[in-house]
Amino acid sequence: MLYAEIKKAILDGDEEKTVALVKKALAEAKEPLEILDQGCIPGIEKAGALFEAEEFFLPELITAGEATKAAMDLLLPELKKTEGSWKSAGKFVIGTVEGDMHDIGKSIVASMLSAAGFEVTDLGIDVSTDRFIEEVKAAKPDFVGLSALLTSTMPKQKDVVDALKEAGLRDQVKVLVGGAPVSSDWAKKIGADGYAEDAIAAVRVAKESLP
Amino acid sequence: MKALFAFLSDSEIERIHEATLLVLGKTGIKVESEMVRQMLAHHGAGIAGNIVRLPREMIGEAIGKIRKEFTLAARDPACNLVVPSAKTLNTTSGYAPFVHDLETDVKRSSTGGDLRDFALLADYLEAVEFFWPIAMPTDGPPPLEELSALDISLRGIRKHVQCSCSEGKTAKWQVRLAAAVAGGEKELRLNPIFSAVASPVSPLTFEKETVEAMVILAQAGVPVVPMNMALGGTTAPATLAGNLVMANAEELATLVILKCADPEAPMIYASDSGPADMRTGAVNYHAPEYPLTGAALAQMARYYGLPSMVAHGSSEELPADLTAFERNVLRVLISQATGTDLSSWMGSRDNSISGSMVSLVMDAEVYAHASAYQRHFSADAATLAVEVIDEIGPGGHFLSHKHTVQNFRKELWTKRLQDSFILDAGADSYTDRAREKAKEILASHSVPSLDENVLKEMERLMSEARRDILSQ
Repeated sequence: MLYAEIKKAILDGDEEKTVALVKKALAEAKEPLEILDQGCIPGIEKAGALFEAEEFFLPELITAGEATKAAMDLLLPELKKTEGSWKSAGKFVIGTVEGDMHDIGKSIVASMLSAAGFEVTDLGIDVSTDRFIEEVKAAKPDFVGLSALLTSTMPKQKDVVDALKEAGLRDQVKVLVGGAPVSSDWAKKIGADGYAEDAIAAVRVAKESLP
Repeated sequence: MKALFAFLSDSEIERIHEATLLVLGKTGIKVESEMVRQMLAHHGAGIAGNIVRLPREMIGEAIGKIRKEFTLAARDPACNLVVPSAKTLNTTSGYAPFVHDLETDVKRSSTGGDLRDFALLADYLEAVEFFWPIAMPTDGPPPLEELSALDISLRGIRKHVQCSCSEGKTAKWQVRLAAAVAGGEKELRLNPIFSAVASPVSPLTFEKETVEAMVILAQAGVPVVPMNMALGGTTAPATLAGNLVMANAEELATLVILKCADPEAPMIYASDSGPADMRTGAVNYHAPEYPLTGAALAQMARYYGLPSMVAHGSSEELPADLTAFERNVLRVLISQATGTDLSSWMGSRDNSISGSMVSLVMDAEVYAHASAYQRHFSADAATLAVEVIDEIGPGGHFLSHKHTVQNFRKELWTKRLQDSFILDAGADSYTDRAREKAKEILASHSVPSLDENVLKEMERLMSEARRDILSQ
């Protein structure tokens, strides 16, 4: 019953209620992994399915994602305590490339990835190539996601791929690219590992490229 | 109603009004009924032969008695309409002697059976808010057509019926027939379940039978819809301003006649005026002057406080492709942007000379797209959203704000492709899809029958009317 309520709160994009319900579940000594698997994941997966079926719109998808992320923030410390039972889907560093101030698309992708169980570091907008390299060195993520909305900033995605090669880091991280003018052809051309058309696809592509 | 699209300035409205008073006072109108001339003379009009001149004070008095709001009632009160309305209320085109056959799309004479089918279809389609008998029962005796059209419509549709009426005797029997359905003449006056299009003939002529019908209808409390058709270049001056004066003069003259007949008489300011085609002399519905005339006349109606029916965005052709469909949406959009309270256009073909069920279904779809532009709008604290803007601040985004979640579905266009058979026709032609839909509705929809006693009374009245009307 409680799990069904969590699922519904997430579908409603009701962050406050989701947090209250997850706290209640933890207080009732429910297994964090069970809360995640039976409450949160079904909620966000349903939201994604409704979005793909064109019944949900962006605000509903994003608020569902934000509610899930708030639940994850509560559950993650608990999950990490119980070693072996849970492991994050992967570490994901994401940002909009240098010279590009577009935030929304990248933030939606970041929110969906968090909701899907990735540990996401969002570097924000207008992120320099050097900053991406530093972060890859420091955090050792499984993925780096590069967003560009302008044809004039798209080449910066290639710069990051090239810089990763130069720094000898290219084999350690998968590079995913996205943004309105970006295509899978472009991804191939610049030597990226994948391209996603929207936030739902980004989660799918990331999960599919996991070993 | 707030118009999206207005044409005249305030001073131009005043000038058209003043010019109208000059025409009605100096030129006057031709009234071919001795009875109506006498009635008008009794109220202060100047009579010279069959020319009636209306003094300024008499017109002012009629304007002072305007019913600014009234109900267009329906057989089923759930379908009642109030004018003026917050958005344009649409109806079928009307009174055509031909139909384009549903199966073959071949043009042929229309029958009572066609009218029954149209009523059933219009009852089903939400976009059709009230009903013009779109095709006349030409399989019966011509003098009975207008009465039979009302008879068939009252039986066949739950919505308000706006029929045509051009004879005194027809008016008398239409009132009796509708009273039988409404529950008496007193009830009909309170809740007129039908209104009647009875029109002057441009320029400035009131034919004997029609003007006597106007008087009978006015005295029964039935809203009269004097839909004139002043055509710039043929029956009115070629100038847009002169055409407006002509159309306005005929409307105000009708108002005076109705108010002399009954001070309570409800009237709709109605017009299908526009430019003439200077090659054929016919109306040119596709000319830009047509919607401009509608916009200006809607302003004149609002100036007097009369509900209006002055712009009719008929598409007149079946869209061959999506571009043609969008052109139709645009025509309807422009016509409704005039703020006309009522509009008659749906299902029309060949300059309104023919009705088509395929077109009717298609036009309901056109309306579904055009109507999005006519919307509830408010500028209050909740919608101006100053606090929300402040909360998000420069550089942020509104996508996941509660205010967005709560409002986007009602404020922003979210129609899906598959919601429209036009946009999602796939390999089929739109026409085939519309035809299939019309057939489906005819096969599955039904309209509750009137009470048995009412039906008996209608039968009795119809046979009495037949004797009365056909005996002359």
